[in-house]
Amino acid sequence: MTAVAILCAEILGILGAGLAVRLLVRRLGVTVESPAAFAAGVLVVLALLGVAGLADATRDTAKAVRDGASLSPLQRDTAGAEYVTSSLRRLGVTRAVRPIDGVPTWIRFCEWLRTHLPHGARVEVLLSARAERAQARFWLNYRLLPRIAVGRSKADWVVTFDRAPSVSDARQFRPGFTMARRR
Amino acid sequence: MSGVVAALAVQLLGLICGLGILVLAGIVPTKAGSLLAGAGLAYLVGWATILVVQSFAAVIGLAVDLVVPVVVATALMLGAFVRGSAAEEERRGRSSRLSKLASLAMAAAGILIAANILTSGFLPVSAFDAWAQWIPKAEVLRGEGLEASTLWTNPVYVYVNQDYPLGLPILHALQLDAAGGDVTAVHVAPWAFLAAFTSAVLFLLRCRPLWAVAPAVLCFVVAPTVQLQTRTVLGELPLAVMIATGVLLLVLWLDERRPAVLGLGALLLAGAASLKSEGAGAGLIALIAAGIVSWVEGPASARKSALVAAVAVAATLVPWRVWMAHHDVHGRVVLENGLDPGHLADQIGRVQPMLESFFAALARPGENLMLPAAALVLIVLTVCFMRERRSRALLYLGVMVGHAAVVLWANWTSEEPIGTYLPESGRYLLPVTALAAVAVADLGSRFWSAQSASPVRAATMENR
Repeated sequence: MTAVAILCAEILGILGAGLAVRLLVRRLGVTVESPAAFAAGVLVVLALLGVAGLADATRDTAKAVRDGASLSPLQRDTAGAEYVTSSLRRLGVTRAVRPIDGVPTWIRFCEWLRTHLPHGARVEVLLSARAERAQARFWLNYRLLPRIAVGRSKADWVVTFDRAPSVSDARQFRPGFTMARRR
Repeated sequence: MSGVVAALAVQLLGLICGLGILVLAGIVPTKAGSLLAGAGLAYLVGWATILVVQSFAAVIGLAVDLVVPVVVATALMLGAFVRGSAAEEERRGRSSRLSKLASLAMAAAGILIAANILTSGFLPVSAFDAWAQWIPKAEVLRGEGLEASTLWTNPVYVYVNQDYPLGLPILHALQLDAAGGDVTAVHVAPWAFLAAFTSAVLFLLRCRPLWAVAPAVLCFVVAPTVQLQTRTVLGELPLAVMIATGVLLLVLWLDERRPAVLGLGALLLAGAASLKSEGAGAGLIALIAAGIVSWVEGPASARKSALVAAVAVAATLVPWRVWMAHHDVHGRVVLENGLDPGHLADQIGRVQPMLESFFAALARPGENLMLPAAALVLIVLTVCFMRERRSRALLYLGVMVGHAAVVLWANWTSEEPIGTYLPESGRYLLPVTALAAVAVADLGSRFWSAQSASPVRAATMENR
């Protein structure tokens, strides 16, 4: 069914509820003007949907909290990276997604960088073409804050992600994942 | 969890600011029961004020931390304390307190929402836009202030919508500041905004039958599309509740013509404009529509007031626009493209899938619990059977359609792949759902207020 047809069906259903309210109040001997009866029909439909929705919302909230509570602090901090991990896996960047103690290498690398790069550092991030396509840069930029990602001319640090280091004295986390001071 | 507690404390700043404004505007008197009843509206008004003022402060080079909000809150509270008087409401013989039943309904909603707030410390920040755009902006604002080269003119961050207004990052930055950088703290605000919306609508429509107001508000709170947004920390939920409450205030202003009510509505719409670019569109559409209604209905002073309010809201956008122009900041939606018939003609193929996606998002009963359909029915009923109030119904419809048109236009003119936008239609149209909820609560309850006062009803009661 198309969206317009669904919308029309909803409107007809609401008008039907209004008609039912009109007939019901008439049977009860109460005089209600037709527009008010139809308005009451709208409100009755919404009240029923709202009460049913309250149960669903409570259940969904409980599930979200249960799921959240079952995460470790690292999993909670990096839950948003799942999207990038699946993109890296799809694009075949296997050394980035290989697990270290159950956590993908690239996420461990980000956390390692956070402990080694000073706050406020200006960092050039060099990614392989596949990692760039997987939007790993967005997560790195987020997770490295308050260190700011910049272009080569303004960088005092350089990080490589799934590619060979650009300087000789780089510190290596895993092959292809390095950091070095540029100047 | 300590981050959540700190973020909760930050919410009080908005509440204090707003209570100060409501007292100064004569909307609530300085009595505990009345202040409590108006707390939801106060929270929204207070945050709108903080976001507008702090955005301006950031543009002129002040730090984005708790100093400006604390100064604003203290000044307003002192002003209210000094002026503290009986509110206009009470001079008109109307109580500014809620009925016992409404208080009970608000307490029940409050318990559900408080439970969600207290458990929000367990939730991860997993929505793409949240971690890719909003939290980074908030972190940079918190750490280095509004320094153009860090993020706004830095080509590395071109994906963060560099032209977007600062309201949402400021909201997040203030919570992060209080929570010492604990990112789970940002989950508190969406629930607080939802609680405030519930409370504000019940407060503003407190003279109407509660049973006629509550169903739409309940549906909005529990609608799956809204529930989803409470966990994403994106801008749509605060935007939606500010627009909807602002438009409700404009409608009430058209009924009562009290300048203070118009002022509060304009303040909320300015707050919405500071949150997201499309908020400016919805706010100005609402004020122009209210201006047209007041133009038709008079008096002349009302027309002037509407014009002043629209200019004031537009003026709040100027500092950010000037800063952007000064630093040559551009966004992904280029205004010139949107006004170029040739560009729009080239991109005409984007319109049909967007429209289909919009209709699908609004028609899915499992997502917004039929609020748009219900609003449509009540708007038509009002236009047909309550002629003296049809301009109010048309105002709601105009802002709903106008907001959808602004979103459609932005996506039509954009050169991003259309597939990026289509799955997000439900989120973009959240303000339409919020407006539908407010329209149903207002128009539905008007029918019953009118029914209670009608000669037919009176005759029936007499016969009994």
